[in-house]
Amino acid sequence: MSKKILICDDEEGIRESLKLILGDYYNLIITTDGMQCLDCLKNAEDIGLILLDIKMPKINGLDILKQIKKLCPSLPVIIVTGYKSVETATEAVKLGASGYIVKPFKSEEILATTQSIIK
Amino acid sequence: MIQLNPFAISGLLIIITYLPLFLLILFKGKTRAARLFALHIFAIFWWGVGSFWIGINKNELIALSLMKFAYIGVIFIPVFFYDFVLEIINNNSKLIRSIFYAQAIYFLFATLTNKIFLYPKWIFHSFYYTSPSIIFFFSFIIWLIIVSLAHIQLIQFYRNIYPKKREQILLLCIGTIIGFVGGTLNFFPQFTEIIYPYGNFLIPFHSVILMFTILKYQLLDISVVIKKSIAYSILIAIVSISYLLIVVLAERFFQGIIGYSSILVTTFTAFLLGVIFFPLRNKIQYFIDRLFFQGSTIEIAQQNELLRQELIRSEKLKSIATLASGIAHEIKNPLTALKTFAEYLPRKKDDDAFINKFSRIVKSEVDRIDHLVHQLLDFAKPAPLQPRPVNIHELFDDILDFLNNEFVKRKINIQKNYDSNTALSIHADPVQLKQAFLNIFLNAIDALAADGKITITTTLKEIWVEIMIQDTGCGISKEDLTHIFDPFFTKKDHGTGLGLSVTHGIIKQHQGQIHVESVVGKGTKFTIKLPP
Repeated sequence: MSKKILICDDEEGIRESLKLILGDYYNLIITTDGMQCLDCLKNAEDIGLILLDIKMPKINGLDILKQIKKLCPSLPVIIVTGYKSVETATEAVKLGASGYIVKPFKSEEILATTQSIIK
Repeated sequence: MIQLNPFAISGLLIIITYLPLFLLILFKGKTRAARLFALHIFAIFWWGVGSFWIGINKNELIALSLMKFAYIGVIFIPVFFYDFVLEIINNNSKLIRSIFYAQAIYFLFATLTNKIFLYPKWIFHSFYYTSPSIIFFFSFIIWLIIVSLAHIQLIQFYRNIYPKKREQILLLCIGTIIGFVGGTLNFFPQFTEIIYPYGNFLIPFHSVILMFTILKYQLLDISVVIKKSIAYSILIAIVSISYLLIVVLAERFFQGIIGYSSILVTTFTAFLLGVIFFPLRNKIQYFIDRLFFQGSTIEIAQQNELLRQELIRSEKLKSIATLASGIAHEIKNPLTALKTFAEYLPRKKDDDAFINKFSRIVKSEVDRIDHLVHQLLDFAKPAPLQPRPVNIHELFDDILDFLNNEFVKRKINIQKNYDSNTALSIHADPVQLKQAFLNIFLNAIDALAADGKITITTTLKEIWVEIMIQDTGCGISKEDLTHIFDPFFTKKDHGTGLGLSVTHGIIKQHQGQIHVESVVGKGTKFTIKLPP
């Protein structure tokens, strides 16, 4: 176990699902909103990937992405969202997202994507 | 004194009915078809004048001239009609037209040069007709051929046209067939005295049918606005005159039988008629309403109400489509959790920590889906006003959840400035209120460009719960602002103009107030006050 994965989602069901899928393979840091996510990013080390939801209270996921990219431009961020629209995906990629996973996702999809980033 | 025999009366009826019809078509008809039809009607009117004159004439010396005069009309009746039919079926054949006009001119010439009518003859002990030559026989046959050809072409045309035109052509056809059958019967007394020319009485039916077709179905593209009051007045005048006539006739009848006029009989007749007069008048009004005005005032109001409800329903269906797409998205989160937990269940069924989490998460996610589906169902089903205590903040959160998809898509920020009393509650119908607020949000979304903002503020005032929904959109001009709650007022390409009018109705139904302020380029603010 080397690098950690930072999960940011306001939905308990999604957080628990990601824990189930990734918990056996990676160290996970779980956050429930954008502010927490940014705080963790500033304090924690060895974060190799962020899984980020778009629709969250207070700060929208895409705005968090902008700030993450300011703090750590090279840190990979995967957007995990229910919005299957091309516009949102394009916007996320433009802002520097490394991938885009649409809910409801498959566990293999999550594992394959994370494994391709954290080898 | 002029003695009116049936033939003269039928001629008089033709004059009375065709003159207004001719004038109507002449002044209101704008097309070539209408002008040709006016000529056709004028030719029939001409025959009417001639037949009336023939009917009252007792002078043998002028009888031949009168028949010649009347026959000029007869010659041209089918020719103008056929030209009219060719015109409406878009047949531009000049050859056919030339042939028919040429034969008409030939028979006109033959008539004026005494080659058709030879000498007068006294028929049915009543009036002078004429004895015809063989040329008259040919003229009659050609007359019948033209009439038949015109009707054959008209019927073929009828089969290939759209419904509204169909009704016009069908009635026109029925009218002309009746008219021409009546007209044909007028030819026979030239040959034999077997048939009295009662057929002349059929001709006015033709004009009545045509008048009806013009008024009801805009035949010849003539539209006449019939004022209800005038239509009623004319009919009531007719009923009143008939009423007086019946009273006078009854009086005379009894005078004839019993030899003197009885005030008792007259009073009784008047009373009897008086009793049936009002129901009869109502029946006539009902008949007129149905025939020309698509129903009585009450029926029209009922139809309008049904139409209004139908439009409100269609507006609601439009909101449901937006809500359904919002729900489809909202359901994805609980579905993801359910799917993942179900997938891991066989592997982790012996892990107590997993089973505990499974029961908690699966239950809460299923409840959430159930809640979302119920919200949509509640919204979709029509229901009477059902007021109950409603937490206004929860209500707004539900609406915002539904619309979240739209907010994300259009990058709209939502700011909630809720009152510190989190349990702020009002007595209202939640489904109706959701519809009311949803319409405001949908308008705001349409008015907002990317990175726009919607602020929702709730405040508990002394006697109101005040709700402000403010957007940073394009705003509404002062002129439009005064119409914003008017039904059907819309500036959108695909709007029905009912959304805010429905909102206004719902707020009023809840004894609330709604007020709007807007600045073009800056945004719009709706203030809604509802009793707690």
